[in-house]
Amino acid sequence: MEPRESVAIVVNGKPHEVSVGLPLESLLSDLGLDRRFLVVEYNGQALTAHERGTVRLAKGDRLELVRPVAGG
Amino acid sequence: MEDSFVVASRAFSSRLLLGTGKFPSGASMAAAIAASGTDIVTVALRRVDPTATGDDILDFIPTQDVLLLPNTSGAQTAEEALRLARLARAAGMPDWIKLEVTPDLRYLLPDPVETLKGCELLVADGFTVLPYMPADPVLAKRLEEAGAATVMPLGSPIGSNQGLTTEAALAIIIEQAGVPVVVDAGIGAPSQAARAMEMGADAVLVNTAIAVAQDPVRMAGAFAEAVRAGRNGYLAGLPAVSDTAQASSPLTGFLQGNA
Repeated sequence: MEPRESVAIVVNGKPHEVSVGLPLESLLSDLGLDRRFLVVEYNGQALTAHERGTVRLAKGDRLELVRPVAGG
Repeated sequence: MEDSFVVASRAFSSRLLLGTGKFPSGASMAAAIAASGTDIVTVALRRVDPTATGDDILDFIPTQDVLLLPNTSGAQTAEEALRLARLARAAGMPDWIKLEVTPDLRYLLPDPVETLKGCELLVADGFTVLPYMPADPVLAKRLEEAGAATVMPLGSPIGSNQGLTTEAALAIIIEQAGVPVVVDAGIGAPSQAARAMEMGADAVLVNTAIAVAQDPVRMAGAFAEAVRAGRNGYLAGLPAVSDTAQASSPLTGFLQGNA
């Protein structure tokens, strides 16, 4: 299988390279993130867990990965 | 008869809301949550740092027992608050939100205009909104009209431990409120929480005073007792204050009269 084209996306404000068409869930796995209460904002849109499973990454996508932290 | 704290038709037994910031460890926070008896625990939302290691706050919050109340801290405008609230909801948290819009980082005072606008946006989007607000009685009514589930006027700036520097305005807010009043921010000692409750506040939110205490667990218990004492004092009815003495014993002289 030929290696897929690598494209630039932005994750939490920083540039990141992924294979074009990489499922979002695969990226989250690769980053080793705890999924409980993890939220993904995908090009400005907050994704539900279901929606998250349908996204494949493309050039220029902007992701914000957010989770609960201590706060008053 | 049980004296429940009711917000948006949901009944809570504790009138002490607890913030989770500044605790020395997850374990001490968990123990303080238990000692406080709280039913509502606040959290913030921030970007994930994939390289960070360490405890996950949610491992230390009994989310099956307490309502997780995300806040919009960090928001400087109504739109940013709505964005944060939607992220919290998408994360699977309840659609209850503590609205905080604090553009001024020195005093962290809530922006009244953006807070009202944010409340309108969030209510329209289906959220149960608990707005942190300046202790302004007119704004409290405006937020109530906009559909806020509570109002949360500040006692003094966040984390300042100054107590109820806004007491006179809080009294007016409490007198006029048609929704629960939760005094939030600046409460630095159990006595100050008791005072707010004696005045008729429906609940208080405490974070710093408990989290930074030498013994956070003991302080959480102290606040729980203070909130109950203040609430009971309010329900029992405080006596009138007099400028002069009002004798508690008979005013006749020792061994004189009525002999």
